[in-house]
Amino acid sequence: MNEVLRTENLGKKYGSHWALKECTFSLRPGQVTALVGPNGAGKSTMLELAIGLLAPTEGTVQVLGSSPTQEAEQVLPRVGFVAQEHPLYRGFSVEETLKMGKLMKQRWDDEFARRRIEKLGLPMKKRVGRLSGGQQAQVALTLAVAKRPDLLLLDEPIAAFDPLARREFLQALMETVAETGAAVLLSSHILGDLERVCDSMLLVYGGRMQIFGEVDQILAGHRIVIGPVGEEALASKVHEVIHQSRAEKQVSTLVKLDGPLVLGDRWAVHEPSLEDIVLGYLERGNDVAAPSKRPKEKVTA
Amino acid sequence: MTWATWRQYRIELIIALAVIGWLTAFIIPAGASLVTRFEDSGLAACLRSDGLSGCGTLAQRFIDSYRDFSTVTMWLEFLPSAAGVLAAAPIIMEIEQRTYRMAWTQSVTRGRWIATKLALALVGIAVFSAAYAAMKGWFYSPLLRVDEPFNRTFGATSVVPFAYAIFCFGVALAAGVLSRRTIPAMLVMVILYFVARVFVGDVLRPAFTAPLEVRQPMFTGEMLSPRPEVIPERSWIVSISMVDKSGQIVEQAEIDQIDATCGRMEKGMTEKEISAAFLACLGDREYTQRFTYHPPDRLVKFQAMESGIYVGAAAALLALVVGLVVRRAR
Amino acid sequence: MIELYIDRRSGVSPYLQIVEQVKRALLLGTLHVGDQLPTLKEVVGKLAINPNTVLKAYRELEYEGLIETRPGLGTFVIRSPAGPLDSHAGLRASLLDWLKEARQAGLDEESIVALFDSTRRESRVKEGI
Repeated sequence: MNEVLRTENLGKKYGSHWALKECTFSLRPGQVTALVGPNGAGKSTMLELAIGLLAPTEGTVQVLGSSPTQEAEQVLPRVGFVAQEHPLYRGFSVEETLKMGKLMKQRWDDEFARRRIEKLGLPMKKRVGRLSGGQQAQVALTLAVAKRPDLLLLDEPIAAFDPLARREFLQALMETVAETGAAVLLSSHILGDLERVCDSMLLVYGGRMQIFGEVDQILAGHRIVIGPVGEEALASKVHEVIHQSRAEKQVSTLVKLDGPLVLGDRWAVHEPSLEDIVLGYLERGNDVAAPSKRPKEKVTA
Repeated sequence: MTWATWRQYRIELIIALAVIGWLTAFIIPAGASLVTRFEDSGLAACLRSDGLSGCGTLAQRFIDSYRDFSTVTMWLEFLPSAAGVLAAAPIIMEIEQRTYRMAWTQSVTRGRWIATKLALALVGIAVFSAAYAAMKGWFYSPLLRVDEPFNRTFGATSVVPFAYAIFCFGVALAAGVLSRRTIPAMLVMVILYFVARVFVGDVLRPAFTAPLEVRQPMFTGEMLSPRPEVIPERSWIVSISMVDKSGQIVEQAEIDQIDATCGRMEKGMTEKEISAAFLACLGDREYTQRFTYHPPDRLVKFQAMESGIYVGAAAALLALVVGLVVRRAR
Repeated sequence: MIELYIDRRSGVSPYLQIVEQVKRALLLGTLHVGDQLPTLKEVVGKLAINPNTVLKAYRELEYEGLIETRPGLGTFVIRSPAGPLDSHAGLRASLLDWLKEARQAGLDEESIVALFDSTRRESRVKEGI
């Protein structure tokens, strides 16, 4: 079993609302995957299903071949999870929090944990409740990473960090991946960070997987084509239009390639950045949810 | 998780010790003064020479003197709920503050998590109850020599204090897990504990087993009959009623009527003259006194039954809690 | 040891940037045959990039025969690309002439670099590199 995390047709329903549906993907060891999508799209649900805080309504999720809800004893010691609010026991000191990690039945790298706390300049004896939000997040992350897990599930772990702290965290995370070969599923809104460290991406919108794949392939598989108003159908005939926007005389279209791109001279072709692609898909999601009120244009031949 | 649970209970353990310490400081002077009173009033000497049946007046006076310590007795009854609060609070707070989301994603399953906490809480409650029972037993020991043991002193011995305490724990915890709020859960517990104590103590306990019954004529000679000798000392007299010639229990209204018509006393009449007049007034209405009672040897059985009720309720609530925890989402 | 960096805006993929930087260092003499390259862990720890990127770069360099990984010891340079730059006197001379012309035409240093880079990229596309 080479897959660290594997989902098949995974779905979760609350009442009559599907928070997540038909999600199928898998992660290999060492694969760092960005989990991207608007708030409420189902990212947290996905991560909670992977750690066993939630049970699936349909489909399956397996971590290292075991079910996180049914076989939690096997799964939990091998997975590091940090929830969005990064909860900790506020009455414990930083040192006591690490001690708790050490005494659990898991692989615990105490030296790594202490070195990290020291490097971050966090006082060992201080109560966690007295630390700032960013500092608490650092402690929670240390707790997860020092466990030497095979899979790290991080729900917006560095949302509260300043740029220096963000960079420092990503450095430490990449070091851990290089050293241990852990797989990472990391949700974040900061696409710049994600582009640096992630080799694959999972985009979720409206509870459904819109994209899953390696970043290189996603980039190679999309183009932005800019052409004159009136000829936009040329692009959409062969390729899938993700999102289209209009200026007075030009139309810019993000397409997903389905074969080679053949357009006339009046067209410009650009390679989109990952951010362009993500935004395009999110805007498509918005269009589907609330169709834009653009005036209908007649296409003249 | 074991160490972490200990550490989480640190404050509660300190408070529990403080409460025990403070209660001891309260109880020792009170209990000591009662022991002194027991000796000094002559009751001790009387019991040694005549036994309880010959010391009725002294005994009654001594029993009444416990009323002076109503604050202490009230606090004593309240303590099992304190045990419930101290044991349940850290668990409910973990749910309220949602830090269980961290605990459940460390390397311990939810089952282990709740089992460890329950185990530690129950051990703590047991120790606390033992200390509490020892104190209460010592405080009431003079009273237990002369009074019936089924009411005020009922919870002084055996596992009854523990049963009360884990009932409080179970209610608090269930309320906390359902509501996810600490303060409301504690309020619910205090209210339900009070209601349970009143209901079980006043409604159920007298009927744990059918009380024994004895009847005697209301008057012996020209005097009111004394308490029937067949009723052992220190029995719990559950009811005393009047029964008329046909075997019907006399209602209070009729008693009042008799009192009004025949109970007129004139100044200067001797006890004998009062009784004679009363009897004459009654005429051929014959009344029998009916006593229902539980003899003191039933105490152990009653304590077991009462403990069973509270422990049973607690077990059901704790099973509910475990079920909710293991199945809870998020 | 060599200091690597990633320029997000250059339009060149990160792993290629690493390959180019190593080669340039060899050509300029910053890196010599026999020197050790930083470990995967060291590179990602400094740059906060995915280890696979570095792995890909090192593999490319290995494929081109420039470096070699010795298990347990590290990654070492075994060969230098082309020859040292000093031997390209003719190229140097024509470059100096061109620079002179460019400055005379009024280009500032930034424009020169920009012109050179864009033309270089264009030529790569044209030559299919």
